[in-house]
Amino acid sequence: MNGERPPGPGGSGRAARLGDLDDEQLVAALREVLMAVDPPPKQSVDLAKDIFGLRMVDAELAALVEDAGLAVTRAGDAPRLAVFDADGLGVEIEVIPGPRPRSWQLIGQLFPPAPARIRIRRQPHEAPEVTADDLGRFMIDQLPAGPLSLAIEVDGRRPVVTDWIAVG
Amino acid sequence: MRVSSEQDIADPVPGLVLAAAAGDARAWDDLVDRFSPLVWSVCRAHRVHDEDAADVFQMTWLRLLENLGRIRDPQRLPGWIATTCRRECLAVLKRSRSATVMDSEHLDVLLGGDAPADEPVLTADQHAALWRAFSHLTAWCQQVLRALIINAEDGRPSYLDVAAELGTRPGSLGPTRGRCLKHLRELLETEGI
Repeated sequence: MNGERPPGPGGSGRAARLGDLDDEQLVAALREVLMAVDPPPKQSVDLAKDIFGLRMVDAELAALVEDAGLAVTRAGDAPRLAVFDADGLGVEIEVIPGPRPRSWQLIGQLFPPAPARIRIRRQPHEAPEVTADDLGRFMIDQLPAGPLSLAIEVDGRRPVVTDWIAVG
Repeated sequence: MRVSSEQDIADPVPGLVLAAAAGDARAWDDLVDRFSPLVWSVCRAHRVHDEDAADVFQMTWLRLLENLGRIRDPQRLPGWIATTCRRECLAVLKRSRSATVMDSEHLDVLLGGDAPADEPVLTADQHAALWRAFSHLTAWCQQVLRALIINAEDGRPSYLDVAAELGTRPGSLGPTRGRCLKHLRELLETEGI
């Protein structure tokens, strides 16, 4: 048992060590953890289980290296520009609001320019596919809001998957 | 009350992570079942709105899915998950105008700090550790503490109300609370957070 408790957290308001908090402070910290009196919605949990089918074990990851337009509000018009990088393959995409509400349009470019098959990883059971032309350009429209990752297959190399980003 | 460090010896989580990484869908389901409450509680702690919370929830699991083969220390998975979820919460809060502002006046007073009103006070690691330690308390301790916290108005729970709800003597609540918090503190010491 500690002989002397260090002063309670002040200033930044962050607890130094949870084990050093007195009863009142510990209860307050617990309150933050327990505020979720509602359990996670079953639909969300089921969806989370379902995504296991999206896993592509032998794919290479194209990491997100640039993401401009992230701070736009939901109703904002600024384009979202994201750049992903894998070894020897770059992917640049621009996402803009589509003509219909809650629908988006994506314009993409592969570097170096090359044709490719591009699959939208969303639901395991339906994976819309588009093709990048000889100049590595592709477009997806009527993209619903939600998490997005692209699986890109260029001849002669392992499939590449982009980091997940949130669209909309 | 005994310190339940024995429960930590057979931690199934590292095995589940390995199995899921190897393609075992049931191991993945198990991980989702185990940690969904944690992910959800981190969303709520950030006062993320319902629709956004669902998005953050999915994104957190997607990030784990992509990183299954790269988790260096599976025993610290709760902290990894909480940190990832927190990052997504902050990204959503920056983007969305629909987040409600947390009324943390009581939290500030009790913690003696000047935490900004719309920011949780615990780090993600602390959130995960506290959640984990709490879940290792006896069922009775969990019930008592949960009831005392949820029934608190103006920071002071009515012991009469809580006692009636739990079917116990009001006079026993104070000592029980003290004992349970002491046990919780012991569990936290073993977590080292």
